Amino acid sequence: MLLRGRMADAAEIPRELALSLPVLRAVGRQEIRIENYRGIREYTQELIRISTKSGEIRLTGRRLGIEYYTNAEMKITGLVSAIEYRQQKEG
Amino acid sequence: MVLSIVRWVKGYLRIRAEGYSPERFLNACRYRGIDLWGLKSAGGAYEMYISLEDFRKSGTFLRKTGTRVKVRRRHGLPFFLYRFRRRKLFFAGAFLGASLLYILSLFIWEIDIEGNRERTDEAILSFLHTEDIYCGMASGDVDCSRISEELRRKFDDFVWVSAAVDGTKLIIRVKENEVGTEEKNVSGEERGTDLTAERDCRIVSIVTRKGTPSVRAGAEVKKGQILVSGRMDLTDDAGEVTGYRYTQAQADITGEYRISYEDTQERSVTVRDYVYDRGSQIRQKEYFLRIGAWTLTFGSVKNSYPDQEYHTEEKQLFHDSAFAFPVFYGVREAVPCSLRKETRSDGQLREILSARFQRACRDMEKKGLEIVENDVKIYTEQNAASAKGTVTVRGPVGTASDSQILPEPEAAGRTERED
Repeated sequence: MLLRGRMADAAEIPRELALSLPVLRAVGRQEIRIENYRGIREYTQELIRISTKSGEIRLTGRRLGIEYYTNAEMKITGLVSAIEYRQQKEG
Repeated sequence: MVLSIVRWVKGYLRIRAEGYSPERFLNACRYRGIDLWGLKSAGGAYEMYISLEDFRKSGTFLRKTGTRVKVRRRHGLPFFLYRFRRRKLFFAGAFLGASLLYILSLFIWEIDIEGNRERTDEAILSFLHTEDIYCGMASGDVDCSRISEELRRKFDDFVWVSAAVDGTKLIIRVKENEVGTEEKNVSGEERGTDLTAERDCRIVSIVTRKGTPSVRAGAEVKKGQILVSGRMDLTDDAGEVTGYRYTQAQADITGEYRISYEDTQERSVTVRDYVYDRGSQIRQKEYFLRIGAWTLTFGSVKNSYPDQEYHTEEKQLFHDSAFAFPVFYGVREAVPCSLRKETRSDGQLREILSARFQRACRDMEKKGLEIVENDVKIYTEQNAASAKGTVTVRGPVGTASDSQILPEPEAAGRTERED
């Protein structure tokens, strides 16, 4: 992982491409777009758990909804109160 | 927007996924490239939209993920058509509408001409009509290169013409020669033009730019007399004429001449008095719609007054477009009035006549004439008054006409010498 990261830096390749890191783009608290994810682990109106290659992302909030869910990107709307990163325990 | 239209046309479903782990269904969809949208978590189950096509594909892995799927609502064109499958007339109407739209799109419905300043749209359109290019023709028959070629041939002041069909519209763009037609005459090398007197007059000033002047300032000339000749004599050292060269004579020639003026005004005039009812003028209006010879009217202009004024205003439907329908609409109005005779006093007559004379003078000045003297007088008689006299004006008097071509003197001279 470390080596690949350094190689990516040397070749000036964006890290998210080289290491498949998740990309989050948040617009205020109302909208988050996520790329490079593996799948949804849990989804309720208050909590969304998304598994990625580098761990799990937990979004907590109110009235959370998934506007679209495609192979490349997903868009979450609602009122987000926290974005939390957790180390992956098992695959 | 486009995406939602595409989804609607293809059809989509609102489904509810329930089971032990509906997340697995979502991830399986993503893995197989199936797009989901509008996901909502509702009571341990998920509701989402899925396209009809993808829903059929998802059947294979539904069982594997242990998810039960219920269709909540159906959206889109396929379901719409299915629901109304028995309404044959509706489909016939839709088909008729679509085919009508297609058939109408096969014709030219508007000819748009851009860039013309000297030549009017009407002149160009009427020429195009003689070439079988008109509104309502099949757009497949339009040969754009032929149109531009014919237009260039017909109107030689068009330096550039382009024709293009845009949908049901034929767009013709032209560029006119702004320098004018003067250049064109130069090409006729041997043909010269003289400047001749437009009328009998006395020359006040003459400034020649091209050609040979044949009169001087102060000369009295007759109508048609050559003022500046377009022919220039070429002489040899002995002063003998050896040949001629012809040019377009150009000069500013001002002449002084008299214009007779006469105007009369009757002493008694007819005056109209409009009829008022409770302070407002009586007007009767009638709206009408005319299609060919058939007229439909709303209201009436009939009334019992003996004298009245009639006003009619008529407009044509789609008048601005090249394809004019024979449909007219407008309003007719009758304004009742009574007529009576009124006699004008000498002072009033004088005022009227002098105002009209002033207007005539202004018109002359607008034409570029300078008024030098006027001896117009007003004479009052028993029944009428008249303004009579002459106005002396100065203005341009030269007009172009073709030069007379003389035989070359050189040949004649030689034969004489040989004799």
